[in-house]
Amino acid sequence: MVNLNEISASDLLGINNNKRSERDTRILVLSYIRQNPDGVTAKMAAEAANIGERRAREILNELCQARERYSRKLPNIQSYLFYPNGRLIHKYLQKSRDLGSQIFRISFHEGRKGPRVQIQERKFTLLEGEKVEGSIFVDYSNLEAFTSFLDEMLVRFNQFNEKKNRGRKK
Amino acid sequence: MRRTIMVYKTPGVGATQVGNLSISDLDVETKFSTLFPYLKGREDIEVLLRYPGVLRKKQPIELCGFKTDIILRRAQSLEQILIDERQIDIREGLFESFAAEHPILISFNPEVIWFAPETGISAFEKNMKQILPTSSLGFDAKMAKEAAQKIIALSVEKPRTYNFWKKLSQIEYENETLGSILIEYCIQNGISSKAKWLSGITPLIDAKTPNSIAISHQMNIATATLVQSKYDFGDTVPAYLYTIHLNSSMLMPDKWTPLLDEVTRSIRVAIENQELFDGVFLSIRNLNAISQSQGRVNVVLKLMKKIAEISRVEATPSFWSRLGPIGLAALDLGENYCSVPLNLNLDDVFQSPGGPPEKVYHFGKIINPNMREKWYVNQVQLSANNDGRGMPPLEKYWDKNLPSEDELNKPARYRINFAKPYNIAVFNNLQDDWEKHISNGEISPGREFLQSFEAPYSSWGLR
Repeated sequence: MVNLNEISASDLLGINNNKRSERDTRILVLSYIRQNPDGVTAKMAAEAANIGERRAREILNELCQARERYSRKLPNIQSYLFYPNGRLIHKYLQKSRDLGSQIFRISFHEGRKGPRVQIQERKFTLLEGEKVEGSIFVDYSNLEAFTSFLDEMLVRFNQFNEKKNRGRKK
Repeated sequence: MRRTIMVYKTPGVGATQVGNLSISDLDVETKFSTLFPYLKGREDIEVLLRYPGVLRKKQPIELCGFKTDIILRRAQSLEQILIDERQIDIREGLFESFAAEHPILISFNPEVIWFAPETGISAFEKNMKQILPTSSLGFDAKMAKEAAQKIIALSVEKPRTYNFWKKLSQIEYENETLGSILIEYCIQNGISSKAKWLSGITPLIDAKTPNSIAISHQMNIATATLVQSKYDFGDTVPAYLYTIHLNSSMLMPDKWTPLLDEVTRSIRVAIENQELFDGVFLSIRNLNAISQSQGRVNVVLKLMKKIAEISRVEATPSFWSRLGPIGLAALDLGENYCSVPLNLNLDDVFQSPGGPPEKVYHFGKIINPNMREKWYVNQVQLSANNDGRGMPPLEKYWDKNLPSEDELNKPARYRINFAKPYNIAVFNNLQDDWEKHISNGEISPGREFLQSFEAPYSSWGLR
């Protein structure tokens, strides 16, 4: 039996014996898809990363939710194909804000042509915690135009509402 | 990467530290140093959700990690009840708004794995089955159940030994060591509960097994590493605290042992050299027994001074779990956060089933701040009958000092609607007083108060 003082953090996490941390596995799956822009199935990713197919699907779905991958179901193939979603470098300047029951997380990413803003909608449930519902990317160069667009739509919506209310009064 | 920023108010008084703590990515903005409530189950969360006015603004809350499923379910079921009762509009969710106002710390009592009490093991297993399917391990309900059963089987195999910790890295399930499953469970527990701080599942450090310090250190490193990797990946994860659980055997009367030196050294190394930790979290088992020996109290006071010094030098917070009134002495010595159980009981949270059958014990205890004693319900009843005054009225946070007839007949109602809110309010009034004394330049107002507290806690007062 091993002595207590011989057990390392790596042993506890199972990183030794040629095994990887969860993060390393995710990175491996990510890089495998990057190397295969024509798309990979969960089974292919599982084989490449030497993990179970179910685990591979789990990681791929998470990556899709984070918009690092996207998936598509092709007519003649039973499984989903997963594709790289552009080159994304690590996030920075990340901040979340709860607006009533909606949670928004905004972060910056270094895209190919320059910084991009990711806006994630997240949902919190008591028993499942916080999960990504969906997200969009806006190039930094378009950010000002995008917020003006939002303002414009807000004005239009308010005008629409006013007209609707006036119609009701008549 | 350390995310905590502590801004100290200067000048401090003696060893005492006060100021503001923030963790910007988690929207945490709260004061230190302070007492804060410890919630062990569904009844405790009900008290705070029903009577949020007993809390100070932005006051942190400590939740028992093995019971988060029960606590969250109660919060969920209470939401509709409170909407119906009070005709209030709760748009953001009762627990969500509560967690946004009061930063939550999750902790795991060491006795559950140390001696595997039936109640603790059962709570642990249920909680794991609930939490594991939501973790990034990708387990479905069936796999979560099997993994939980493996961990439970290991916990009950050889209680009061370190067999559990030795085998964590040797047994695997679905290509994951039980150690990594346990750590995933711990972290996901914090995420699911919207916690801002997380303490680890680490072994109870016992004097008979000096190597328990080493395995505790490695569990801390492993947990912090995984928290950090999730953070790097962009997940919202609580700030991880370097966790130390000490068995009372570690505290000999008036004797600072080499083992205590090793414990403080491991804390110093972790906090100084590792960017992995956002503070230190400590608990000591059997504080009631320790309080009966002045020599052992002296050693704990020395330990508190040393921890406070490390935390001040590194500008990282120190958290002490379930100190009760002793928290006032700890604040004097420079500790930052000390939790107080709502029922004032400092014994193990999970005990062997059973308890005294007499009804008086079912009502729990209430603290009388004037007498500086813990009272049973019959004493409360007597004071109400004799002079009609009941418990001393409190300045702030809670205005009820007499239980109703209905509450006097039903222990649960008495605890939820009278004793527990009163207890929290007493400690928050004491906290206000403590801050006033400190701002007036007084040294050790907490220990001065404890001087005339009922035994055995008077041993923590000034000598």
